[in-house]
Amino acid sequence: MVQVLARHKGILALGAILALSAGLVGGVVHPATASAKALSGGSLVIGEADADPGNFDPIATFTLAWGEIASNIFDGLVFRTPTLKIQPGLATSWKWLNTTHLVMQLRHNVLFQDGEPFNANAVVFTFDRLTGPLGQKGPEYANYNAIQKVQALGTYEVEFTLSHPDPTLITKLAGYGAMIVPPKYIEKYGSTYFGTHPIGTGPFKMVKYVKGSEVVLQRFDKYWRGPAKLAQVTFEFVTEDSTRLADLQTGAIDIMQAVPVAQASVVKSDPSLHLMPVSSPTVYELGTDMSVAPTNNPKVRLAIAEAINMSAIIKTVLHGYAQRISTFQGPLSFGNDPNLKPYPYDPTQSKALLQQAGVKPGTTVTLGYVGSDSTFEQVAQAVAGYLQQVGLQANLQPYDENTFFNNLIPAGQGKAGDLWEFGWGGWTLDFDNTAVLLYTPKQFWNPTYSNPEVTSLIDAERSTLDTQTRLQDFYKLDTILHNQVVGIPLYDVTNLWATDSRVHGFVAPPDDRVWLWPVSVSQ
Amino acid sequence: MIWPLDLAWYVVRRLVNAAAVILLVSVVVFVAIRLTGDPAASMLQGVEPTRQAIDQLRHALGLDQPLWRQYELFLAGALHGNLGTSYDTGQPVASLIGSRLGATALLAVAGLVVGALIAFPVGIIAALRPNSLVDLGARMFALAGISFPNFWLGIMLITIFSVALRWLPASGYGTWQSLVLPALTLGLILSGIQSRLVRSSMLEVLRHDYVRTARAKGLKERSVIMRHALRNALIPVVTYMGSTFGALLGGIVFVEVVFSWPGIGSLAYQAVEQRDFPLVQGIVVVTASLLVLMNLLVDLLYLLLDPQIHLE
Repeated sequence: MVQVLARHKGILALGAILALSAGLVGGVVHPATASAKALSGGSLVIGEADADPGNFDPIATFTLAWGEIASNIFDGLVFRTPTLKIQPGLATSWKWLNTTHLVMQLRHNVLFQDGEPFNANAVVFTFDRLTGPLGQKGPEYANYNAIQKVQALGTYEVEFTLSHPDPTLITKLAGYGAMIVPPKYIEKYGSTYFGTHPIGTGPFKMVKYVKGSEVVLQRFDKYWRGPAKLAQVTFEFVTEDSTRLADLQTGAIDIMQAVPVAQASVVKSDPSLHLMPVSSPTVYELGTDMSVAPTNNPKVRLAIAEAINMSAIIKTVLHGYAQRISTFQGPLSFGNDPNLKPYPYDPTQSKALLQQAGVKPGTTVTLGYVGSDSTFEQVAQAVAGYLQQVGLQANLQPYDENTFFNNLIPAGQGKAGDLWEFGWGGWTLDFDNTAVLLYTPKQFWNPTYSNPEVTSLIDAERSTLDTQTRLQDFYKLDTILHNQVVGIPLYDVTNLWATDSRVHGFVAPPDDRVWLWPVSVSQ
Repeated sequence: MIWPLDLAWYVVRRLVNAAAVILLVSVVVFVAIRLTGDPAASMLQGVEPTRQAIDQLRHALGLDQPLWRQYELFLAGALHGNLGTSYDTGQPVASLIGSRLGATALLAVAGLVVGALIAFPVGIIAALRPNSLVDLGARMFALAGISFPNFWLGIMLITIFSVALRWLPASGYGTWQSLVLPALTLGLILSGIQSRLVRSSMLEVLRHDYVRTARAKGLKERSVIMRHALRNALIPVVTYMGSTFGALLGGIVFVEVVFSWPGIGSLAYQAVEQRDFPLVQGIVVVTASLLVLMNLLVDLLYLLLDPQIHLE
């Protein structure tokens, strides 16, 4: 017997490997969730471009993937619609007592998905947690650090006390970190468990989570707006663009996030698919280093701005899926002056300005950009071509994204280049955040620019809740930034979504906060 | 003959060496990752923070403490099985790695099996018919396997088998169908060089006297090849497979990303991008430990294949 086994050692070894493989396959085939067919409404699969957030606790993350998924698990006190209007959410009304005290009336008869009732205690718990020691270790606290205290005035009434005025607070209450969480559930199971087994008041509840692979949500029938139409939604994390498109084409997914601009024509040519472009808050500019020559000269900066035919770049490189901007904010941003025109394309004027500034033909300027951003790489190449036509030699320099944004740009002194790619999310849709972080002195991404008039305008708009006054302050600010060419605004991004023809009622969200409550599918 | 006591002592010595290697790796990765920049700024990049907010988060995470103190805390935790908490997700690193290791192990084993199933027949047949058209085809196949980038091959297989033929899914996890294309991608790449190795090793072995003797004794050719020649030809092949396990893990990263396979490779890619120090450290230490263990297993496998090998 031993001899027989010894003779067939190779076969035994191979058999053991195959058995191990079968065991691993069997072990990872997870039990199916409740069939969507058993619940009326059907199911939908969404191909998610970003990686698994890994934690669905609202205080622990800022990723777009979290927003797309968890916007359907949680509710905030206010709700930002797919058309970016602020509406009542878990708060039915609110009133500012002064610039630092806000009182909110809460919605009655709302339940968390585990049956726990929503009330003022949940709101106090949520914000105590967000602003406490645990929240301070996460990325969301920075958005809400103006909140000094939240107290319950009654079962369905709360008061926010701020340490300083924050005119964007109402918008921020629709943000990730302000999603309301269940106190008893978290106290019972702890934050680590809550992060992978989240419970909210939203229209869908998480029923399955395979890390790095997928999240499955099922309809919460006691949702306060009424049950959603869909029975089940699956989010699959497919970060590779070509794979995600293949999934859409083969019907493996019904909705695709982030269709690459270069692949938009593939979707458009397929009669079973529907391309949905939507203007987003995301903007791009060429950052300019004002501490080193030649970009420390405003004439040179204006010459560069007028050398670039941005309309042609949008048409050819971005296939029309972008819009020109005059300041570093999109048309959806509160603070954008629609009457301020973008820099004109005028190469003759550009050459004249360079001559006036004493810049000799052939002068080199370095343009830094994120090497993995294939779209902006093409934009950068086009920009380099236009600069060459006015006598500037653009040296394109790619960098790793993290190093670029978090080491080189903050270092100033030309480390990121004379010009650099700079993208900005603008998630509050209010120019305040951008203005403070990019145009007030000694900020992380603004190591060099300082203008007392600009700082004064920003302080003024932050100190009032009056929208008209703030808007006028922003318009003045826009004009100064435009005239001084503090950065060269390029374009506002149009995001591309795609859906299968069986999907109905889906509105492509400008802010990537997918809203699935009204969505249905053909069976 | 190897005495059991000698073998036990050999394993103990190897394990002590392994511990020293893993400790050194932990120091190197701890220092290296901190040279890449500030994770606090990276974590907050999406929320557009003030400098004050970045400093506050850095303090909350203990990143403003001296380097030696940070390493001391990491090592103390690691010795108790606590690899820290991911900056990006706030989840325990050990739990994150544990939840992904199985997927990578499955893909690695499947890729190795596919690679061997292709490489062994191709290499053996090429060795039995040297300089023939079959041998030329085998060598070109090997060259293609070495040359093709694995991510490109993966995308090509998706284009053919998923999009055009609709036979297999382009992504996913949890079914045997979703394993086929990633395993095939990995296996095809591996089989390129493996088939070359099998061919050259077989050619070398077939020249030996004992093979000529076996044929002269009238044994069937199949028996000569499978029972006498192949076993000895396997030794350098096994050596290669063991020593390239590290490269295999590296190659798996691209395959996992292309096919959205939720393994340790794609997790590592994400962790490095996000400057998630604890997660990067944890992944490197765990994979270094697995590599060291793999090398030990390969060495022990030698003893099974060739009892004449001495423990020294």
